Amino acid sequence: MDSLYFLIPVSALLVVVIIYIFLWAVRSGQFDDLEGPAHRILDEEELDVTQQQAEEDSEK
Amino acid sequence: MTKEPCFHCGLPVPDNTHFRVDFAGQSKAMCCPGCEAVAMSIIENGLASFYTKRTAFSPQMELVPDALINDKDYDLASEHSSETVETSLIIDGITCSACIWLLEKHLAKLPGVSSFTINYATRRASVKSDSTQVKLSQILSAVREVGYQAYPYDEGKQQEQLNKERKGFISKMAVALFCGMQVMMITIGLYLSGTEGMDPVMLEFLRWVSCFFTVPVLLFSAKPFFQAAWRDLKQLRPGMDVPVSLGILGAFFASLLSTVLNEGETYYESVCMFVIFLLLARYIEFLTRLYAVQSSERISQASPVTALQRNGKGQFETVLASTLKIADVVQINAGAVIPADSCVISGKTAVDESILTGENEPVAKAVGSLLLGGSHNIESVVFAQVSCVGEQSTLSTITRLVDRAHAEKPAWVQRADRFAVVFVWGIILVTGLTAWHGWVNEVADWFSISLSVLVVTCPCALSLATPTAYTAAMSALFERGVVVTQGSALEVLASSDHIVFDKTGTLTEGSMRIVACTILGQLNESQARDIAECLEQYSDHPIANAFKQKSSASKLPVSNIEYKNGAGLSGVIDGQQYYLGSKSFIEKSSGTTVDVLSLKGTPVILSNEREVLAIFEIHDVVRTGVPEMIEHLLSSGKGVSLLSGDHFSSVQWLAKKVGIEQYWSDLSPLDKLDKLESIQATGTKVVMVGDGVNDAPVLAKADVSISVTGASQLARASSDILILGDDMKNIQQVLALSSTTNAIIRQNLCWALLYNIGALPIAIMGYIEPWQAALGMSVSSLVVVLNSFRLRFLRRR
Repeated sequence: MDSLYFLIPVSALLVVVIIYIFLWAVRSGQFDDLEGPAHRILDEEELDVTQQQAEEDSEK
Repeated sequence: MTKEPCFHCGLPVPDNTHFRVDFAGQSKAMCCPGCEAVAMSIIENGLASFYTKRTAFSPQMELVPDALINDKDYDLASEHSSETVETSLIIDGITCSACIWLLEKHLAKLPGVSSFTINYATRRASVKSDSTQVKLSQILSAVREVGYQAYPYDEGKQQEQLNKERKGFISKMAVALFCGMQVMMITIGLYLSGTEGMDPVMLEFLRWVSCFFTVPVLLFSAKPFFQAAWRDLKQLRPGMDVPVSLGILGAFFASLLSTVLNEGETYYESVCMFVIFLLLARYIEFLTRLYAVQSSERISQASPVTALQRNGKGQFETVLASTLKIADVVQINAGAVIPADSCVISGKTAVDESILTGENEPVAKAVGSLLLGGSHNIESVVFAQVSCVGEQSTLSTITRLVDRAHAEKPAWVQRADRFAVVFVWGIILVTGLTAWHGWVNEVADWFSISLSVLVVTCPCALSLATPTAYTAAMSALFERGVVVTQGSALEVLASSDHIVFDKTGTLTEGSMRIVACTILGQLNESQARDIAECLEQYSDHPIANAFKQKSSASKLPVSNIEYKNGAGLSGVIDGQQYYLGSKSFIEKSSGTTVDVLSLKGTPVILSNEREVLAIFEIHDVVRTGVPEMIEHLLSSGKGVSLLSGDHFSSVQWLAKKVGIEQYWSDLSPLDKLDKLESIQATGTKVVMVGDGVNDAPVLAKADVSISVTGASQLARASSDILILGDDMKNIQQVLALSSTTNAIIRQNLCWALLYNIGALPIAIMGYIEPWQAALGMSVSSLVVVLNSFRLRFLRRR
């Protein structure tokens, strides 16, 4: 049972970290559009050639 | 052969039409030129895979004549100093995710647009563009090209505030959930094992850990409750936040005392549970409010206020009202909003200032009178000189008034709140008595019993019963193209028993066409048309649109324009006085009699002082769904009647066609008002459906007023419900939903009262633990909120 004296503070620390990350995610707008990314991932591969070219150019 | 539906919108293709589009080597049938044009531009732009991706048909498109699109107004509104501009757009007509793909791909091709992204959840787009390369009107027409409607909107303060509030809610719920989880975990362990056999040091340790996790819940998550309770207490009007805060604080400090002394009960888990459930209920309530705000926003921000300003060459051009300067001369058409505080320099008219002064009677204005910006010109064209702009002007006062009206709680919320105040005092009293009784009689757990009483009786469910139902109904209706500006209108609507319709623009589409022209005088047809067109430029009456469709190249100067509300207008062209308007107007002003009984459409007559020159026969298209709606209304036992200013034969023709038995024709706005009052005098509640300038007083007088698409701004301002779509069956939907809403409100109130009254004695007897009380209270609120939410998912009828 003595291990609890160590494990519970560790879990407390974890909770603090999780809350910090979550609050960051909310503030930086990660939750603003919950549906979009699920659809967007399907669209990406159909970029037509000219557009791909343009994107590559802009990256250079 | 079975008929193939329209490839674009999925509606049946009418007979004898052959609009077709080639898609993947096949020829597909289209129902109308609008759909054909859209499908062509989609395919030509290399975006044909839209049709394979989509999961729902697109809305049917109508070809809108370029003359009717006033996108240029938006360019005026969006002049920026910087090159890169960020604009927000509201997009209409999105049916599935492929629509978003299509729009994003199509708009990204537009030169000068650096990014165009649509938020799937809100259906709003944000555009980044280079203002030197692309104008806002070009972006809007690109959206229209592929079959959608876009309106720019200003991401106002209110929206920003709501977004902040939403993020605040999510953060607070997350903290409460994560911390509450830890506390519950420890508490459940203690429940299961019991505290007897436990090492006292471990027990103390676990209690301090629970305390540690409860502190952020108390300080961060529960903060809004404390703030609201404090505000209420300062005003001596305790709302439901007062018992909530008392419960939370009481439970926490009692637990803290037990922890420090290391004896007695702790209620940390109750504190956390209470906060979690309350936040959840409030968040759902907030979401319904968010939908409601987003729907009303569309109306208020759809189009900028413009003015017709005289430029250096003496011509009038459209400018943005906010750019007007003192001493500018503006032309104000009948039916239009007065763009700025100004002084009449020519013409006379009557102005409706009810928005500013609350006075329903029109105020007469002549040369030298002051016009208030934001009021409505209802009689004739005037020219005026701007006398005041900026902060002091009436127009900015109105914006402030509108903001205040938005911020003010509607009457029904106030009613619910007043009720809650009484209730809260009762709760505090009962809790106090329970505590005192327990203390005096030395009941061991008097504190936990009174805590349970305090929490279990919290009137959250009661005060949520009405507002959540209204907001859910409003957002459900919004999705069907109906905007409710007054929640309580739904309540009245459900108990209404007579519906009065206007004819032109309401039962009919209001898109007038000249179908015949009979020449009686010495003018030839084109001369007569030219004169009529020039006169009608100064009118905003729906019939005037028939003359406006063709922009005549030869513009004759018109002077001394006078507008007779709803009946006609007169003016001088080339020194000759002309009258244009209804039969009764012409007969009065020219002193001749006109025979129009043989005509089916609405006659518009052109005359001079002595004789009738020409009769134009104007036809109007009946809106879709009108006969079905009338039949439905009649079969559900409501009275239906038709009030129109038009002449007898055209009113009779329409009434027969749609199945209305009670109709009156040749009514002036005042007659309409009298008729309405005579119906109301018998004790029936009257719903008025209208659109025009002349309907505004009647709409304001009716118990519930509904205005339809294309209604004049004046009519919109005085109505409770706006129908945005063209389908009149929406009125049926509103009626059906209003009675369901009332039923839901009754259910909610019953449930809330039953719960509060039923739980009280059990709590007083000490059968309810504080955390169970927290659960009970929150579940009862959630039941109310979810029951209201049902309104959003009701089947379309």
